[in-house]
Amino acid sequence: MTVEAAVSLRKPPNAAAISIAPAAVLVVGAMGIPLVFLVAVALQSSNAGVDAFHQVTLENFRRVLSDPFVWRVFARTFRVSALATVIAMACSYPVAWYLSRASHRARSLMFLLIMSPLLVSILARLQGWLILLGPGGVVPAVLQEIGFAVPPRGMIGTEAAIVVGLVHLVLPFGVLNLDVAFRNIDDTWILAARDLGATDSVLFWRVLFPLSIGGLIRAASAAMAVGVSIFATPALLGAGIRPVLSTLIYNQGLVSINWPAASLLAIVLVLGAMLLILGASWVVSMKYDVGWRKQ
Amino acid sequence: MSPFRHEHPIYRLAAILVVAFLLAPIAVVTLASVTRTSYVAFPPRGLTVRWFWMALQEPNFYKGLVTSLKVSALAAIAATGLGTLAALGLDRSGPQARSILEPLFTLPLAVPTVAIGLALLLALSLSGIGSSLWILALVQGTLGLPYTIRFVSTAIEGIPRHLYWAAQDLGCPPRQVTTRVVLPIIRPSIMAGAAFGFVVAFDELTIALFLAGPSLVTLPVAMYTYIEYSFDPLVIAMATLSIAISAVVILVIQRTVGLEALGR
Amino acid sequence: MLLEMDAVSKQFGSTMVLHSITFSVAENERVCILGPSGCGKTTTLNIIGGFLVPDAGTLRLSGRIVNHLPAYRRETATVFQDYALFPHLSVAENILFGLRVGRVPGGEARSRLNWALELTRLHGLERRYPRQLSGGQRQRVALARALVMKPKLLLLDEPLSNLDANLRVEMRRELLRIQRETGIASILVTHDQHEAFVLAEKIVLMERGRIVQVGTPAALFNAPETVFAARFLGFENIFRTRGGEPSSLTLAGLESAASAPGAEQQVYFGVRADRVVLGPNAQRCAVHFEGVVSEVEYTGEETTYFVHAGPLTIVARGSEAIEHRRGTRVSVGWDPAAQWMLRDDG
Repeated sequence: MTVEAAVSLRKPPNAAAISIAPAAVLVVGAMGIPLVFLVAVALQSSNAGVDAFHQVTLENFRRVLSDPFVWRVFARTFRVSALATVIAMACSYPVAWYLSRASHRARSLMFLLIMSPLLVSILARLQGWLILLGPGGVVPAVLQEIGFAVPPRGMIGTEAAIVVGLVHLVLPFGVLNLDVAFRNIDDTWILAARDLGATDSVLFWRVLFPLSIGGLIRAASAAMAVGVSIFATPALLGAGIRPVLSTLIYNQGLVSINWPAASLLAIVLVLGAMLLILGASWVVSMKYDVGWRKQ
Repeated sequence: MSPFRHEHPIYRLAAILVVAFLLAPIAVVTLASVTRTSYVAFPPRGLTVRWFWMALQEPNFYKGLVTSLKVSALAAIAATGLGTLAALGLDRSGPQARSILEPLFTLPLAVPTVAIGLALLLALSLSGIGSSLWILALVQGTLGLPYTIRFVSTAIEGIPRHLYWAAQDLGCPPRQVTTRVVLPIIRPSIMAGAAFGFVVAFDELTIALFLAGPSLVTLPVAMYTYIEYSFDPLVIAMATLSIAISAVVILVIQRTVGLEALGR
Repeated sequence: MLLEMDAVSKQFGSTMVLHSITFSVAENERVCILGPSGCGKTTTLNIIGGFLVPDAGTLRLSGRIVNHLPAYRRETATVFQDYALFPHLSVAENILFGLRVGRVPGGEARSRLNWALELTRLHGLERRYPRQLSGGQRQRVALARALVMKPKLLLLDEPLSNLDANLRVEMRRELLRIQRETGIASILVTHDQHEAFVLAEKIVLMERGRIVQVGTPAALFNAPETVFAARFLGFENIFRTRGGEPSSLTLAGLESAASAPGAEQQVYFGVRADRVVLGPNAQRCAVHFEGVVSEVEYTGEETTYFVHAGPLTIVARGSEAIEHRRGTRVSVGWDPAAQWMLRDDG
């Protein structure tokens, strides 16, 4: 009987690599390689159209980045996402607090209700908002009663509508991340703080809020990243009147067929989204563990 | 009662309001799809189900639905198959490999789909390959990959080490341990991953829009182009049908791993 | 010899976990590896089972060196501490697992299954799943699953530790019955001395990666060789004296073995608590002191007294009702014959 190789729980590394390779190849092929094309086309002149590559030039960069319209679009994109993020995070706090302390059964139900919309087609959800915010919709009617002047097409085509749509998209992430943070807060810490004479305001600002910052940053960055990247929501709720970066890329790419411009804008978008996500996780890992101590 | 005691009714109220907000558009769409009027009406005036039949007979929608089902099925298979293999491989990999691979597999979640769509359009056009159903299916499968990998990885991590030892102790060579022990135990997570991969592809609009062609129109694309020109109960009914499909998927996920697994 | 471990050592990272372990197990022998947590007993068992590879030394099964033989080729079967039942398989399927993998024909498999179910008294539970079973039932399934393979050597890792106290005694008897009925050679790992004494014919006592003593339960109980062995096996009084004949002891020359070691030659000995005499009779013993009863523990079956005499605490045990109250002055002593010499283990 020959002596066998040592038994171990780990297969030889080759088997693991073979197992992982197809998925890795898919990601690199579907995401990585096209992005290379993106960079290459962005370096073309704006007149290139759909032709193959001419010489590399930065003329496109200059044209696009010196256009005030483009900067207005950047500003609107950021503004809309930021507003939606702030509103969503603020609304998430009480809900996450409730969820973190709820009974097992209540939690299951809440998770089901909060996560289900994410699995429903975004177009279906947006049509719901088109109905609610559009002409004859409930929301404009109510606003009119209160005294706001509402245009005939309802709220569609306003930044407010886009913000509503984004909040709707992003709220579940906020609740989930804050729930995780709140679950790590021991009730005994709160009792201890009260024992030491903490008022409600102190309790929130000095105890709960600091401990939730990690989750807040994670949620807010995810929300911002989604807000700037998503296409369908601003496309339908902004109705072309309020372009944001994603709709501008679409227009330049498929309607105006100005591929170099579209590519450059797309690169800006990708860099922006990456920055938000990576920046946030760096901040969180540097300063804010889940178990961050109160002062 | 102090506002910080979690039993304070204000928190339950907040939760109810938020849940209502989240579910509102879905409820509205479902209700508006049964209106008798040929214009959008909410609350609905009169009740009818004719819009559903008409939606399915509308050629663009019907073709869109069929295409979407095909593409999503392929995407789900790709995401699940490759994702399960990847998760199995990751479990056996060392920390250095993981520190590179794990971020790689979250890339599809982070990169904006507009950028991917445009990039693919450029790449496929300029290289002469052109768009196709298979390519769309693969790309949408890539979008589902991070989810399937996470579901399956979590399940694998939950298997106690002694189960591997016990299987080997009873005469099972390592390769058979995977098929006889690991796969059966993680099967619910694989199914949840497949359901999720299907939904991600089925609902995906942006990349499908960029890759759309006369013979490659998915349901979201069909609905989107319809809405650009007219908004009526027909398309709302179609949306309701897609909500129904989502409901089935939600049920599958809830029964297998539970929706809590979707939390980050 | 069925199993021969010869100078086996094992290292985890920079920590030496096993130092030159040598012992053997014969056919049909019931052996127990006994020791406190962290002594390396489970590591030893895992090496025998084939889940770990020794860094030095040889392991022989039936004469053949098996250091690198994978677990799935060894004729050992292990019952894990957490039972490791397959959650996706029923009781019957769990038990049949090894037979299915080994392609044992259906008829033979069925009859072995029934034999195992009969032996472990699991009839009626075949269709249940592990999550529907109690701790004791799960343990029996784990046992059946191992025995059905007809292994040459059965390995059990703390089989009774996860059970409730009352269940433990019952399962201990079951285990002994099964061991006797099958006549199988077995190695049981535990930290519980009672378990070891009841279930094993030969005990291997380990501490910090080394074998301290090997012997029958009686030998270990009556003649422990080292201070550690004595303490582990229930000698409550262990003393050290600096040189001189142990019989010519005075309080001044006596120290508790727990105090800091000195440089001179040390002599260790132990006295069993039930050989310590308490009360006026103590003054007739060759070794006796005056002390104060500091604590009394009454369990109904016996009474244990803790007596402070000078710097020492002496433990005495009697079966009568409480005779000496806390705080009373007593004489305490023993006969030199009750002193058992011990070796220091350093």
